[in-house]
Amino acid sequence: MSLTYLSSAERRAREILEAYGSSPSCWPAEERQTTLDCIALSPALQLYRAQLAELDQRIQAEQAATLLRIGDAEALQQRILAQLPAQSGTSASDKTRLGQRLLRWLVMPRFAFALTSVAVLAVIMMMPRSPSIDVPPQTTSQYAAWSWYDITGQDLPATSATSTLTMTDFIDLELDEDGG
Amino acid sequence: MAITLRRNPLSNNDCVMDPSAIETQQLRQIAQGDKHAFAQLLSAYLPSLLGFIKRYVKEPAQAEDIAQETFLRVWQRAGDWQPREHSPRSWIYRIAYNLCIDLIRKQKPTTDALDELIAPDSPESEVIEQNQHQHLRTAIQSLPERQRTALYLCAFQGLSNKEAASIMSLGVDALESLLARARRSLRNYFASLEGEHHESNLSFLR
Repeated sequence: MSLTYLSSAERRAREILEAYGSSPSCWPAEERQTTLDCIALSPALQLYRAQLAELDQRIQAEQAATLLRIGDAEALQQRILAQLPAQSGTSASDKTRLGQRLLRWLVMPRFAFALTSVAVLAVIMMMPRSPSIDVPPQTTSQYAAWSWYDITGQDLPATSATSTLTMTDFIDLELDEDGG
Repeated sequence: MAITLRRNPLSNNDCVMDPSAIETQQLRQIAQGDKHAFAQLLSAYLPSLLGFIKRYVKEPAQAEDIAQETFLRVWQRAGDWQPREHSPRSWIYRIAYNLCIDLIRKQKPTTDALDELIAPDSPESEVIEQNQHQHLRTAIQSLPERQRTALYLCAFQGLSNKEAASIMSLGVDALESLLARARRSLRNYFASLEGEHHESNLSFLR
């Protein structure tokens, strides 16, 4: 059977036969019906499936024989149940589990990215905010905010409308600061 | 809390509840310390899991120890089971598989442990049948470890491709590749065996 002339469905059906054998019960459940339909339309795949059946019969026979030899393992089952220890304390196990979950959460890239972003934002927010000294104030309100911060070290109070402050107020303040 | 399986009144065999859902429920109950749920899970899994372990471990006592250790871990770590990562079945098999691999790494490779389970004084028909099984086991034993495990999990233990891939920490494509190569090797082995048999018959007739 040449792969050159196979459609993609036939190719996949062949791959499934090669990997999982001739028995549909061993095929991936979600592809079972498609594979059966495809085989039904292809004599070459039917022949290939028949060739694979012999190995599957050997496997099934060996599987059944193995289970028969092992039996029901009743004695071992009883031994396991008899020697079952008390489950470890839930608090310790919960702590371990919490630690593992936290670690898993931290190493997940998307959360790590989010966490880093939040941390960066928090640092920015905590930095003392001052008007940029690189760009001199262009308007009266910018000058007011810049000067007020420069002199008092605080933001301009919201209640202090810049319109009510005059240039003289700032000059007075600067003079006070300089001890003048 | 006991687990009750709801059965379809029209059928004596068909279980209405999905087995995986039952096992999920059982594992959650085990995590709460429910011994009854543990006993049910143990009863359902032990024979097949022991069969799986015995393919790796030569000594029956060692195989039983690994089975016991597997279920001990199930009992103690049921709370750590992550449903998103593994189905209950693949989680249990993964524990057993890792224990087997650890033991194999400590020991030198041995022949298939199941070979030793064949009774030496069986009737002739059984001997022929056992020889056929023996051929298959020999052929499987000659496969690389990953191919063998993929075949054990999918063809012998009946696990789904996703479960087997998850146990072996593989993608499904890689698992399918291992399975295909394993099956091809086995078919070649039996083809050469039949060739030899045919040759010996011809030489007898000459």
